[in-house]
Amino acid sequence: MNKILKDPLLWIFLIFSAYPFMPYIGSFISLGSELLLWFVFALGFNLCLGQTGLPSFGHGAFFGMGSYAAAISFLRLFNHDAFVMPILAGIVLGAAAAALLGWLIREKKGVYFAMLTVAFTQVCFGIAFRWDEVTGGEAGLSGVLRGAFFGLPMNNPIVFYYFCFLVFIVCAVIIRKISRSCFGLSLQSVRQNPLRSQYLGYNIGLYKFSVYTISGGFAGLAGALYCLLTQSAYADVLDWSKSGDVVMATLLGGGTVSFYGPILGSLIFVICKNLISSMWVHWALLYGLSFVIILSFFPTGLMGIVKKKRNLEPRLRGNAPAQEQTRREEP
Amino acid sequence: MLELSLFLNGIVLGLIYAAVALGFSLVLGVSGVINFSHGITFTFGAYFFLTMFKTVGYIPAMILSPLCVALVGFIVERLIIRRVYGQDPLFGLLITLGFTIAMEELIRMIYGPATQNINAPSFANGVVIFGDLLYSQYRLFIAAVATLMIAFAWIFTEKTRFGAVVKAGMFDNEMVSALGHNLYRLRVVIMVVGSFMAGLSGILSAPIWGVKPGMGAAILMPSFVVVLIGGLGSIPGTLIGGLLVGVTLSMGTLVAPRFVDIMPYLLMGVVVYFRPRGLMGQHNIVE
Amino acid sequence: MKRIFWICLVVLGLFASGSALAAEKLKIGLTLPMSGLYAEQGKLEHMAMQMALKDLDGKIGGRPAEFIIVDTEANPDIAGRRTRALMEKEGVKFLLGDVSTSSAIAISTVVKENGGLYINTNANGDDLTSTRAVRNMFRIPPNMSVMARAVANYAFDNIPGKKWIFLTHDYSWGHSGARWARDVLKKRGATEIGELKVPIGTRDFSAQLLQIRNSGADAVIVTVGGSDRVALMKQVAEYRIPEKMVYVDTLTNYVDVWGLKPEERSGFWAAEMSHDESPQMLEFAKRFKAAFPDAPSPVVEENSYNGYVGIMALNEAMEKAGTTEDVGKIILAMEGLEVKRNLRDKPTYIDPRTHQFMNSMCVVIPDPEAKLPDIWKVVKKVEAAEYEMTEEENPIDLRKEPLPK
Repeated sequence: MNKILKDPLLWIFLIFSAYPFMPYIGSFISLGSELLLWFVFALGFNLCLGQTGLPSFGHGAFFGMGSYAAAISFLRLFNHDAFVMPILAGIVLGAAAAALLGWLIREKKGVYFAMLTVAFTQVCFGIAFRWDEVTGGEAGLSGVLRGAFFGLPMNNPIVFYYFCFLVFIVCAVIIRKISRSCFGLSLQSVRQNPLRSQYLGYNIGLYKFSVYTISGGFAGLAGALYCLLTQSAYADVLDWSKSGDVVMATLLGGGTVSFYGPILGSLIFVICKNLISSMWVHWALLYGLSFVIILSFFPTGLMGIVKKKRNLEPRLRGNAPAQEQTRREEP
Repeated sequence: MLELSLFLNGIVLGLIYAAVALGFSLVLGVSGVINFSHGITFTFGAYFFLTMFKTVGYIPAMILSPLCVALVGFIVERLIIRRVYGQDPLFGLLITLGFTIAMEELIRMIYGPATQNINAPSFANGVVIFGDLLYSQYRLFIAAVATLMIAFAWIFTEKTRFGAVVKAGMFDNEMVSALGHNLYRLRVVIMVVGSFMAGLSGILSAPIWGVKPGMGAAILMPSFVVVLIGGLGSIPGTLIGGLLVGVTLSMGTLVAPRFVDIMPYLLMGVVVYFRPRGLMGQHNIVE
Repeated sequence: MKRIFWICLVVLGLFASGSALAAEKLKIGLTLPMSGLYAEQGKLEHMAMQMALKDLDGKIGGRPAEFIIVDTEANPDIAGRRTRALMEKEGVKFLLGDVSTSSAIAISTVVKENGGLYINTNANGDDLTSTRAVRNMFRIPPNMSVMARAVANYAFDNIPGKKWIFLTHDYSWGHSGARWARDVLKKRGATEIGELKVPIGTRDFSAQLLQIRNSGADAVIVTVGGSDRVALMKQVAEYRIPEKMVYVDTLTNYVDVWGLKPEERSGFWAAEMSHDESPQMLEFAKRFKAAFPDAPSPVVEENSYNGYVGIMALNEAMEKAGTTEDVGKIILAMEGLEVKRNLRDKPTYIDPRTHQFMNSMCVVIPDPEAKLPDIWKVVKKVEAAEYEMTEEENPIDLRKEPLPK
């Protein structure tokens, strides 16, 4: 019991279960849903960055694909009260795209890995932005309705918020299970010393491939929820700068040293984007500068500061500033 | 005739990309930092020019504003990039990306978000006509300046002693400093030169693309693509990469006009997949 | 570990502390493209709306009103997101504005979901009153079926050659313009040589213009908007396109073209209105100039005009409905309304079936010896009803849709 009470996730759940009743932001219910789906997105992404050390700029593409898969399947394939099927379609397409890309580039390292994911994202963006017949082009797809789910009217924003909340709980628990499992620990070893893990008999490529696929699935799920939240899908989310957003948010929060870093980072990012922006349009100036300042003094991000103070550092060391161990290898 | 015009267009475009990418490539090669703030120096160049050229005239502004940009590059190196030397290149990428986002917003705050137009200078305004072939004078002017810039950079690295140190620095940083060369000074000089070139390219391309806060972000990815196609730190490689990307973009309008934007990325994907170091790349410190 | 949650709590609490102010003013949301492709247009709309509010003594529907402005950046994703925030956070029910058709579609989706009323002021894509029409949205400017068909018919009558090539902005509005010009081309028997689509934000048209120049067409039908058009028209002159063919613009914007050099203006253009149509407009232009000396346009042009009419229409509908709260009643009042304070000689009728405002438009040709602000001559004036989509082309009837509660 005591252990459960000390579990940070429980506290996060508790705070967000009361979101719609909070003063001021409580009425801004779509912000809450967006926060929750961003948490899912960032936590899933951190399986790649924090856990395995894969600097992926392709997650915006998986997010966008999930979004389009949900919209297209809703508008073209399923009848108009489908709710679960579009979400499943989003997960499947996100994971499939990630699997394809992950398989192709599983042996690449560092910059080359990152740039191939950027190329993939940009190609997806170009296609989504121009292929009017399927994706609606620049105007995107709209008219996605939220039907009923077990008799619950999902078109009510509060009900949809709690659905996102449920999804977030399930995903957060699953992702933490993954990261603490045997598989998750092997991923850490891949990050910390790929060469040594290879000598120990781990098939690094396979590990990278599988974690990439899993994390693509979570991105797809978040994308599908985003589609249902906005009731539309736009090519904009596929642009590489959007992939950059999730990488920055994860790093700012301290995803490399803490499981909860991505939550903190995306909380800050989404709140800045949606709330601060209405107070001061040039919020990006502050956001960008604080990112630079925090990261240049505390390369492990905000959670890194917290951890450092509590002297937990040696147990979980981040990889962000760490040197690539295999400098002299072929790329 | 159309093909020839488009090809020419592609070459000019490619020269601009190459000129922007060169600074990027040199900084990456020597310092091992993926400097995303390179895009913003491009933007700064155009905006400084916009502020200056009415008071000091076209040519003086064209020299002065890249100098200011070079100063910006110097400050950025001192304040930010120095902190990420020797760290994971992607960490440098993200820090400079954060800086870029902030600076873009600063420009938006000062100059407003709208696109501003700069006219081509009067001495290069109009078209050249050879029979049926028609070509914009201003583009020829750009081609000439960009070629000069690239040639200068090439001579600098190939023919001078300092250039030899730069090239050695790309291969092995530690050895270069062990041999008594000041690595920090080398990195600063490269950063300043790179910013100067990006600023000048920003000015050159302003009459074609307009001046807007997002112009740096728009050129950043193509120039990164150019660097990766050509190979990190290689000047001939960057030139080839730039020309390839430019010609692909221009000639691509004949084949699949709607999907032209994605062609450079496909090209890069194929090149990097099969030749990870790019066409002319060699072993370098980023690896 | 708990410290993090305190951080979370503090962040959330910060916003809680700046909590709701007592609001008795009527909040009107202005969704305007203050940056991006249509920044100039957005600015003009905003200024004219402020003028309108001043003319109404700060009251809409008899109730003091205030504007809350959001920048939609001519980007549908951003438009949708910010509109949602506006409606949920501020409780705004009435929205006006926007130039981009795609953004307007995104806004109307959100408005419908939240049961508000949206008057689009400057998007011309035909989807807004046909396939993507919703009962919560009205649209002021004539749609592209009117604009493009009017100018295409004029071009067909006045250009000897019958081979046309299309240059189209690659988004819903551009497609819409090309679609209706093509409709004329097919009905009257001209030949289409091809279509070149350019993405939003294209500044360098050289590749396209080289192709157009070499295509052997007699007319180039252009649907390119905003600041991209300015760049295009300069390059059209630079590449000497008018030597080879006629430049036909399916919808021109005064604000884009008045700053160009006379030799950069050529061809036949469709315009929503001409600034000298009525004495009221000239009078309005004078006041406008006095109030906003740095406005991007020296005369009253379509963006400012439509913004002004939008506020007036909302005011008259609220007066007719006798409420400033009940969205359903106000929508009913707007259907079939005749807007009187519209700066023209006769009132503007709102078609209850499509929610389209019905005005006249004109075909203009630039005047080479023009003196600002009279840069063009009106060669043909057309009532919108003449070329509006017929019931066959657009069978929608919004009166059958349910009203928001």
